[in-house]
Amino acid sequence: MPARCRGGAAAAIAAALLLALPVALGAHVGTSNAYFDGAAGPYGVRVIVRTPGVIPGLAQATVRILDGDGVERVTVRPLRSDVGLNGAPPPDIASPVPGDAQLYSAELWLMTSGSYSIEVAVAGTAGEGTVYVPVLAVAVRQLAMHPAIGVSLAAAGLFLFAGALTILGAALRESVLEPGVEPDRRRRWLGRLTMGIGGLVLGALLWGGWTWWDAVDSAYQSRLYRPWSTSATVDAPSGRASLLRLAIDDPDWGSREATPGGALVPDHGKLMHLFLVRADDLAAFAHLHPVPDGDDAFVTPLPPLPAGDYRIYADIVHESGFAPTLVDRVTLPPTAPVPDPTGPAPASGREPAPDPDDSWSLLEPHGAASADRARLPSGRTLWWNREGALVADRELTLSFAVTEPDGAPSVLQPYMGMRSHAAVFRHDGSVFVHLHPAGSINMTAQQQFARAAGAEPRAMEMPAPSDRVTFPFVFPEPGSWRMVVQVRVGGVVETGAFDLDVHGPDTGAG
Amino acid sequence: MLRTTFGPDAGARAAAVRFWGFYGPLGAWVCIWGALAMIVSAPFDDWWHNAYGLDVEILSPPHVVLASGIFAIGNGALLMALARQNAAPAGGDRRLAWLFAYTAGLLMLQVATLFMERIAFPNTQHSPQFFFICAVMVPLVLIGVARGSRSRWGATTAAAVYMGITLAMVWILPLFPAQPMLAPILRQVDHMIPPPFPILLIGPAAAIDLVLRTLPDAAGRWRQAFTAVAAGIAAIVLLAVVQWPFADFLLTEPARNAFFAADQWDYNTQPGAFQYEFWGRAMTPPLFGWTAALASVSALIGLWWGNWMARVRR
Repeated sequence: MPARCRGGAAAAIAAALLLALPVALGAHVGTSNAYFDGAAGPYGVRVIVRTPGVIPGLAQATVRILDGDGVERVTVRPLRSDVGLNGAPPPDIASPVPGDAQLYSAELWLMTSGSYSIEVAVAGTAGEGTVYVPVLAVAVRQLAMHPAIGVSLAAAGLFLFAGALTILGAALRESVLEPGVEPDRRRRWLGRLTMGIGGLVLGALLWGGWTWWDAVDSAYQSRLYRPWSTSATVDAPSGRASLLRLAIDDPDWGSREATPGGALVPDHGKLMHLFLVRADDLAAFAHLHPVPDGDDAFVTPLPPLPAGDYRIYADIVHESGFAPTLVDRVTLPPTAPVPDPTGPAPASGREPAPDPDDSWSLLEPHGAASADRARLPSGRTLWWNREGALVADRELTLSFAVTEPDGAPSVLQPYMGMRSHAAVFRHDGSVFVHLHPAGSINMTAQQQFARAAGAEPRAMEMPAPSDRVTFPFVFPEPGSWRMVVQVRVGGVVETGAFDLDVHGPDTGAG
Repeated sequence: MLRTTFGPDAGARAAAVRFWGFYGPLGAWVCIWGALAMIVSAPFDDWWHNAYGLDVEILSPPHVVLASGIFAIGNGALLMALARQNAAPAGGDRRLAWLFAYTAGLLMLQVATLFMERIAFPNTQHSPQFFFICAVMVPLVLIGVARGSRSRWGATTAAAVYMGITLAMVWILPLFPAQPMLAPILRQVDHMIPPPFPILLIGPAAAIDLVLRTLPDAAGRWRQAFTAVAAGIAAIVLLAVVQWPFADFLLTEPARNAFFAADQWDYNTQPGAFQYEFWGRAMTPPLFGWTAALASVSALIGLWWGNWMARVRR
């Protein structure tokens, strides 16, 4: 039977949703897909959740067994953050995908907007293991009507309209006549008059329906997820480092509904990870860590980046695990003085010092970077072990290795607790994903979900020394992309860029 | 249709209505139209789900197209039952009158289902919305049925069918075990959840039957119109008098049992005090005036529709 959740019920549910919403949006813009590589008990798994983009909608979850034999059963189920296991449905069994012995697939309904974790349970001869993958269910897209569908529906509508009028005419013209009696002139006119009046009434009803559709469309547009609005400014006091200030000026910022998690918590030891990408040629990149300046702003010294118009992507995480990416643009002045990280502390206590993990780099302009190797400033080389053509919506392992100038393998050191940080973005800036070897999910949120489900959260593991790093990823759409990979070698953060052409899944590439 | 149109039976064609060169009973054409509307609604609804998400509410544009088709099929069945009833000699087969009243009851049930979100919950039954929707729908359907039926209790029978089927759901569905399958599960439920207790339409329907029974066969138009308006207003007044305190009762503790099922809420409704409160603003005296006006217009349309139905032969 239909849901009993109307009127006042809707108000209660809306309030619950507002409370539920702010947990664990992965650090990305333009897509809310979630990628995770890690362990589910004794099994190594890769979990990819393709979110539907509309709510309620059907998410596609795939689980690839990366490590461990004898898997007998894989199940998945969505847990909404505010109700957790108490409000969870029975798990769905993920079916093995024919032709790929290690891959399991399931569909999950995400019925309401809010924050979920997907509980992935793997059982087999090695035992059982469970892992929680944070996913945010938000409406992020609207489908335009394909012309063919539009024309077909309009034609069908016209047919039904004409059919309804014909039936109305027949009803008044001859339905009340005894069999065999032909309608007289009056009846024929009555039939026509009814068709005319019926046409006007049906037309008015259709117009009303059209207006209703418009209202639904407008309401949907207003509900689409948008990050909080911000404004970015550059302060260039003479003789000192220029400061970048990102102020969150959204009226919802700070309200109980917007930030039920309260204070911000560090992610990889930082309250904010801010990426600067020069907008026109993508030839300058910085990964900075601003510090709070009051309740609604962050500030950081600017590195010596070339002048230009820059895109800003800034990741923050609330105590609740809600991790939005703020999006803005800023114009940097022609000369940005070089801050000296080793120099004396600023005279003013309010003036932030550069973060020791800040990094920046000049890169090849868009279109000029190699597709499989990047020369690093130190003379080292970052190699991309390509698996073939890149195809949108296809699970990929992006695999990189670093070599010394003499060709010997480098030893990668942890950079903020990870073997690497990467930024993957469309050249037009419409999609941006902050990626780690463990995927795109927020570790803090994952630990909180595990704790809420009564599981022992996995401690962040320091990566073992290696010259290689891999990232799980699915390009959400075709087009021209750039991937910026950052590693730390010999105490220095190195940044390399790759330009990519991602093909559509139906072009047959790859 | 094809047999009537292309077959050798000229008598069948003479007893049919024409539609774009084809012949068939009017009710059959309405059913075919309904089936096509339902088919058309499927790709529209599918696109809607992809564009805006699955619509869990009953009233959405593609669902209205679907509902139009369902109504048309119900109406087509009603017309076919009517044609047979009207073609039979007066006082003939009473089963035809019952068949008509039964299909009319199903139509009433469809109306109630379409507007369930607006009128079925007792929490809405002190609101202007409830009375406006009832004023538009109840006189129209029940006066139409009363005029179209050869039974002395046509409207009452239709209301009884609506209430009977709804009550059967209220009492039987909870006996079946069920498990929620979609997150979030906001309350634990282990059985099927029935619709709310039906609106007490049998009283207003009986009032319509009784008032319309005062009309002599040869009554003129004005007398008919006056009587229909009186019947419509009587039905709405009786509905208010009965349903207002009944809604009060349904929100109280004694109604939370297997008979009245006022404590049955589905799994994706967050528990809360709103369950046993009235939603929105309550009716005011001026709004009752508007309700009476709507009921009068609805009664006149119902009268016209019913008079036509009483004469349908094909």
